[in-house]
Amino acid sequence: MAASAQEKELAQLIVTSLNLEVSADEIDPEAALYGEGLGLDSIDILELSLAISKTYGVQLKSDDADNNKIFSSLRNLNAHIQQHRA
Amino acid sequence: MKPVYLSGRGLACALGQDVGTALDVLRRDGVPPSHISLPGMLGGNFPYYAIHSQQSDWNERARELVQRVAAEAGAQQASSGALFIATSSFDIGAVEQGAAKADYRAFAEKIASWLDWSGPVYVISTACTSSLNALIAAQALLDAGEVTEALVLGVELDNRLTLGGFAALQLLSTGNSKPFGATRDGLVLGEAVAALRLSARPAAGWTMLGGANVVDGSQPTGASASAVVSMYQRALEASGLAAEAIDLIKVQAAGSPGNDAVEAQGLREAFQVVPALVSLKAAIGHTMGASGAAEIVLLTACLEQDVWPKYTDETDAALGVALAAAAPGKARRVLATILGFGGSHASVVLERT
Amino acid sequence: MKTFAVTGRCIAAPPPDDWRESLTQMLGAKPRRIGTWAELGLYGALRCMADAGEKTLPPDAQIWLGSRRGTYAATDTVLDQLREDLPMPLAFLQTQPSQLLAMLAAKMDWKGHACFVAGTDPGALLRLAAAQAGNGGILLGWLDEMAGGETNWLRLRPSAEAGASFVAAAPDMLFSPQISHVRLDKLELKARLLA
Repeated sequence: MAASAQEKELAQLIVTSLNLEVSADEIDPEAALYGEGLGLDSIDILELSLAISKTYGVQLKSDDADNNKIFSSLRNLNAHIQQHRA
Repeated sequence: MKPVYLSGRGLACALGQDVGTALDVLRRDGVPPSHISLPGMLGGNFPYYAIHSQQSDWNERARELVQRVAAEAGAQQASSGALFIATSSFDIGAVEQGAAKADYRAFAEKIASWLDWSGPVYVISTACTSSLNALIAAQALLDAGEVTEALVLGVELDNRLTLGGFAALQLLSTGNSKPFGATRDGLVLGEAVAALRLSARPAAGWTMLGGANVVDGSQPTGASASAVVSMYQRALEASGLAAEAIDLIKVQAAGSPGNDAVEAQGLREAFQVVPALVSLKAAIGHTMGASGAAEIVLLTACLEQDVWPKYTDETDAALGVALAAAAPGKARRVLATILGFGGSHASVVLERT
Repeated sequence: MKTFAVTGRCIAAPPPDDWRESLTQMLGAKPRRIGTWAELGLYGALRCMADAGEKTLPPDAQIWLGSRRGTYAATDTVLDQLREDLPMPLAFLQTQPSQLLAMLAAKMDWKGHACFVAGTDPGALLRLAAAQAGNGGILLGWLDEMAGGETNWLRLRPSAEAGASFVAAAPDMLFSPQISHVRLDKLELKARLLA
């Protein structure tokens, strides 16, 4: 399924805040963000967490037991943000 | 390398503004941290071991503390020797107040002028290991015969940049520091100014035999077990000691969930029988660039006067190591370790004579 | 008295216009989160190592890095960010000059003693380094991003070079391409010029 408008907006935030070489359109909404896939590591996730808190007002904590699921893909991350955004 | 002698020491931290007061307060179970409020969604209230002081002007406060601590260490007797300032935050607090600009040389000149220092001045900044790297560099300079006296001055004072950065990295506890604790949930930072005066001339008391620093860049903000092992091997080798000769290790154990576990693994790999362990983080917080000097001042005083930090939190049994509930019967040879940002792992060997 | 042979160097004050492209080539990818100061440092250090013909340092070598103002630009950025919210984590890490030492160590797949000295001059940096250096020698760098930038690096190996051909040298002469050896004789810095 193609990325939604919300997902594209989040993809742009990821690319900009992490200074990635890929363009936002190239991020497969269902591919992994961590490790294989987009290749992000724990420091990237911290950076992204702060960027998301500033943009969407959603708090993402590094010790959240659900992080593997939340950050598993652009689609799941966006779903989590939309569910919790202020 | 020839040993160097600890000929003076001084300390200002949350426990008090001189060694005697700090020790008295620690003997009476220490002080609770104060708090600092940080902005943003991931901000909030964080505990912080501040030095009690009415002065709010950063430069003026720093000057008072630096002069007081240096005087306690007998700095005037070393002022033609080498001054090593160890810090991760320089005078950022003054920059935040618009009372300085970020310039290392201006910072070094400011501190040197506060102390009427006439000898060479070096500023060592390797994040949390700054003070230990300053001690290692000072020993080498004394060994080379370039100076006969040196003062290592750890300076880490209130600023929002450090606290904000640690909060952004989600490394801070909102409760208390629980070294090797089962429910540890992060660091509590603190302020300190600490001085260790070193001399090539023999003095009774404590001797620094050697030390080592190992940078391992594989983890930008954390420790690596193999680097911990390598650090202990190199520190022992530099001191001409075998692992069995060590009676006590002052560990980092700042209460970080990941780093405490990595440190414990490194300890188990480096020592067949892990010596008695002590952490001072729950007493004064993690004082970063000043921590190596501050904790050595406090530890040597604790051992001389039979004071021991109390740990009230349950130990994490999974770590396979635990902090000693009381001072070991004899603690003649002691390792003092700091692990920090920038993959820096440092330890120095002290001997009580 | 300690004498070192200069076995590699990168003198770049300022660096060439295409230094970022060269760095990307040496790293195999564009660096994306370390900041200009550290990028400039990596560029100089890796160029110097290449000039010395070494892929990595021996375990007992040491890295010594100095700077007049270091990460002041990253510090300004973080202080701005802090007015309303927490700073960005990577921006905060960029304020710590020792992060460059970790990156350099990681890039060379090396572990060992590395130290950052703030605000002194290159001669004093060499004095500290020489007091601690072992047989593996020193990778010594001087790095600033003011006024177009400066990233000067020397690979120094202990040398038995004797002779009276050493002349007194000012600290900034350390980074002259004309020097083949440096010597610390008590507090005096001396240099031997290329034949």
